[in-house]
Amino acid sequence: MIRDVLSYLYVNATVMAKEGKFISAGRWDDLWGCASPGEVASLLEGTDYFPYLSEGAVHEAQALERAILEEFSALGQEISKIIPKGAWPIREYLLKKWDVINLRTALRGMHGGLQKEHLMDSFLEGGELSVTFFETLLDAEGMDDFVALLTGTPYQALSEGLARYYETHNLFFLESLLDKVFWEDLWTKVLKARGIKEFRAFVEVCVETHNLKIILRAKSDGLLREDIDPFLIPERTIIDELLSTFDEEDLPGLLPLLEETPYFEPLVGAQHEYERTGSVVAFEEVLDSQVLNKAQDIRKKKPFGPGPLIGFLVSKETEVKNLLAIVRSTEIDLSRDEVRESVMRK
Amino acid sequence: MELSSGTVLAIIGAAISMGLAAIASGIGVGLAGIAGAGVISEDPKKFGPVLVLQALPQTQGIYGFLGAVLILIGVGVLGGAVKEIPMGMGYAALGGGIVIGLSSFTAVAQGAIAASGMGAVAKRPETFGQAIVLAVMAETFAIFGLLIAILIFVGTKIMGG
Repeated sequence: MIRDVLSYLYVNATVMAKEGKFISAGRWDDLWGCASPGEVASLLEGTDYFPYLSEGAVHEAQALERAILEEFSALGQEISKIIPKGAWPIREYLLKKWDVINLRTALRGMHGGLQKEHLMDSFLEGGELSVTFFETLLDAEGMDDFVALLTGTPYQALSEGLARYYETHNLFFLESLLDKVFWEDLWTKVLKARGIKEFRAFVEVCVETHNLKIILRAKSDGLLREDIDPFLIPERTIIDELLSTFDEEDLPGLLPLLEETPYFEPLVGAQHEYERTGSVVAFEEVLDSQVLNKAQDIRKKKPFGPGPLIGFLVSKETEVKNLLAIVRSTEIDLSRDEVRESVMRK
Repeated sequence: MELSSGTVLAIIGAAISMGLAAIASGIGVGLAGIAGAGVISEDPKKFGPVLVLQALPQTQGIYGFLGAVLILIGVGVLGGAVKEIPMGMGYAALGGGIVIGLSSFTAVAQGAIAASGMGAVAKRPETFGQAIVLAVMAETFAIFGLLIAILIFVGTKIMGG
């Protein structure tokens, strides 16, 4: 017990001190109403993001977004250095996440046909793959070429989604594969690693929500089971029943099959919003909340082990997501309430 | 110098009292110190509250020291004239030393609580008072241990005899 306590003491104390610098409720109140990147930037004074704000961040949403992500990336690198040796899967989670973020940026750039020079500054340090590698990806002449350049990395599996991508020209298939590679790899590793059962429980929820998001989106888009099989992470029993009746049931008909799981009530709660908007985003949001809730639950149950660290990582990610949503909202005409509604998940 | 068996037992009691208390307090202060370093690395201004919380597990070391000194005075090791004390009194002194030494291990738990308290204070400075109260709770049992040892010393005339 003492060994567990000892190994996480330093990192837990550090992250709790960092939590003390999270954006306060009062400041969030002011942030909801920001109409320009400059206003957001001024409200970030005194926070950990402030040292990363460049001159451009005051005038340009893109530069401000980059500053926020740079802080998040630097934080990940800092934490990864003080994580106990036995918790190496958490370190992998922190580092590989940046590979996925950079790859997603490159994928979207390639899909949208953006010029290389527009994307060159979008990549962030912090992952296992170098920024130069992502810049090379931008030289690809097409998605085929792009995926071919991933050979030798864990992301070469994206080739499995190329056919569907070309058929539909929908990036969903490649992005889902990217997430699948990330979570499946992590899931396999946490199953083998010892002494990190709390992190395993957290990854399990992430894997399940990944699968559920794909199933719900696919159902909503009218896809068949055979279309989504390559994008799901197997060996999670929660999806077996859903998949066995996937082609017969409509989306509301799938939900009762989750009755024995913790996802049932939140998803049923979001059903009205889904019916109103016709968008599965309502379901995706409650699934994201489940990940956050799980992290907070682990934090309470394991205050001396990896609990505070896991809770911090998820809370920080939520803070960054919310901040990015606010920054992006300054580029479009949204009311204060609309912004608040879209980001208030913390 | 020839020492009686009773005196030797009492001296062993003093050694146990101080030795175990030093180990326990060392672990407790160490636990709190690691967490303190984590907090200070992020926010050096928190050094004051961190120092107070880190000092709490030191008190068990003081109890161990006090118990050892009382025994050593009782048998005359401190004071110049070593007494020849009977075996029964020697065992009583040994028992008192063991009680203090073992109850000092509350310092380990106290160190862990203080470490968590530092995290709480780093996150919300207004919880400093509560963090101290929680950590002090673990101290109670060390105080009971010291009291029982003193009662043993008084009852067996090691103190005041």
